[in-house]
Amino acid sequence: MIDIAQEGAIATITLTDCSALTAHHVAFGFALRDAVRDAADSDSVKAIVIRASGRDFSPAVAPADLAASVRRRQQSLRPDWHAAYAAATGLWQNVCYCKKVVITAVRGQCGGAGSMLVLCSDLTVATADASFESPFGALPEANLVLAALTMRLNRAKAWLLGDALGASEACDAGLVNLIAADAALDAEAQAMARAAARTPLDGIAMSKINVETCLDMQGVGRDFDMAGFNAVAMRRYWDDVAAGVGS
Amino acid sequence: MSGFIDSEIDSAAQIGRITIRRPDAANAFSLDMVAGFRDALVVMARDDAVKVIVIGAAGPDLTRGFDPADLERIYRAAPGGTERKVPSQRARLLAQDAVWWGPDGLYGRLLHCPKITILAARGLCHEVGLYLALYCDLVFADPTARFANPRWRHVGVDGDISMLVAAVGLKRAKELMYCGREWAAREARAYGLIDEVVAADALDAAIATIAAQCTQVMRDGIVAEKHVVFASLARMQVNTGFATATTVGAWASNLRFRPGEFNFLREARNAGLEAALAASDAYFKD
Repeated sequence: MIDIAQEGAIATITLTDCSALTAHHVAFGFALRDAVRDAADSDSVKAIVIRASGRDFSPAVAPADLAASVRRRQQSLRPDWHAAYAAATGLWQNVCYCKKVVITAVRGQCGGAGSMLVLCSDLTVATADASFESPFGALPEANLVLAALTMRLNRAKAWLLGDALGASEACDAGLVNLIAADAALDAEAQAMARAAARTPLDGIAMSKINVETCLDMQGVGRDFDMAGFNAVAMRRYWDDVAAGVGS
Repeated sequence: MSGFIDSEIDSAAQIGRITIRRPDAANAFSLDMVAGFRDALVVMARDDAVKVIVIGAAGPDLTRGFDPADLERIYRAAPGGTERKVPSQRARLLAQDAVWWGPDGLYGRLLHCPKITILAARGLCHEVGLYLALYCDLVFADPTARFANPRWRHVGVDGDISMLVAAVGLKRAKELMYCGREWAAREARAYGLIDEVVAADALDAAIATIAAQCTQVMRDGIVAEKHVVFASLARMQVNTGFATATTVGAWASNLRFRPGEFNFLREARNAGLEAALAASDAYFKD
């Protein structure tokens, strides 16, 4: 379920959590994309807050479930997956290149698609108990260039291969901008949105185009283009794991 | 050269010094000061006796940024700037290129300076001060230093962001860009914007020490290392970032404000500069 509310120049999009996105539910991916796109297209909106009503922003996925899910979907062969998530028509690029300021508010576990939303959003507020799992094992469309620009290359590689980051570690790494008390999470995200919304609308759009140019210069778009190849490699990897090859 | 920019070359020490000297205006840069600063950089870049350039300021602040009183003059001084009531788009583009982002602009000259550049940061390091921190090779600050670009709150992000993103990371950069955040010296050090924070009474000595160390490097070595850096910056697309900054800066000088949005220049025209600055602080205060 996606709930959309607007107060002043701030649109707030509330999901139950991101698990349907991690499972690559196509209709849900398009629905969230449309919610972001509609807010971005509205002249009355300057900032967008994405939050979850559930205890965890994006519950982590167990490796066994992940392997089964990846093999079952055979993602690279599914054009609807590509359109809903990886392509220019998909969710991630619509968040990443949104012409309004996008803020994510994260509580509890944040893995898979939740971590992609954090990477694609402009700013992130998190509670102290939040933990950030790398999206790279779960999502073939996860963008390493974006992670490297956000956290720097070595930290991004360590995140790709290592354990989940606690909120404090994520803040030190530049993945999170602010740590808030649990009761203050939404208020802090709204305060950040209000600060962003004081800039003229033309200035916000121009700023985002400036950032988009920077992202494209660094190869973020090209990395999104690699999603289909990554999906093939990921499926083969899990096939080999299932067959006991190279373990 | 502007009277507010001092430059001197100590050939024996192999160090050039550029000092911003307008402390009664928080070292705000006028258009003439930008030209004076850039000219000093050009002279020192060509002087074989100079290995290191130390950049600092008189008084408690590095700079509060470009002087708002010169905001319109910058475009009127460019070709096509006075033929109509509103400066032409070409005047805005040519001014952005000539003053800031082009090969002869202040930031272009500083980023591509073939000497080692060291910045002493104190107090307000706003707008021009933030860019000086980004484009100098080394930045030493005392604990009073504060880094921000308040101009971005008024018009959006109208300058180069490629070096900021490279220095501090994408999301950290966006705090400055979208939220009007100001970073204290220790935050700036933690995020990678500056190199060292030292006690206020030890800053000059710390910079003298590092500058003297840098002069121990051979001249050929310095120029070779700087050109390796220039090549890396080009591969990182920083040159494209500067070209983009020219275009975006020209757009930002010609924004359309919607009802309820704060228009600094209109406020300054109607109520005066000081009143506009006060109204700006009130508008952007949470």
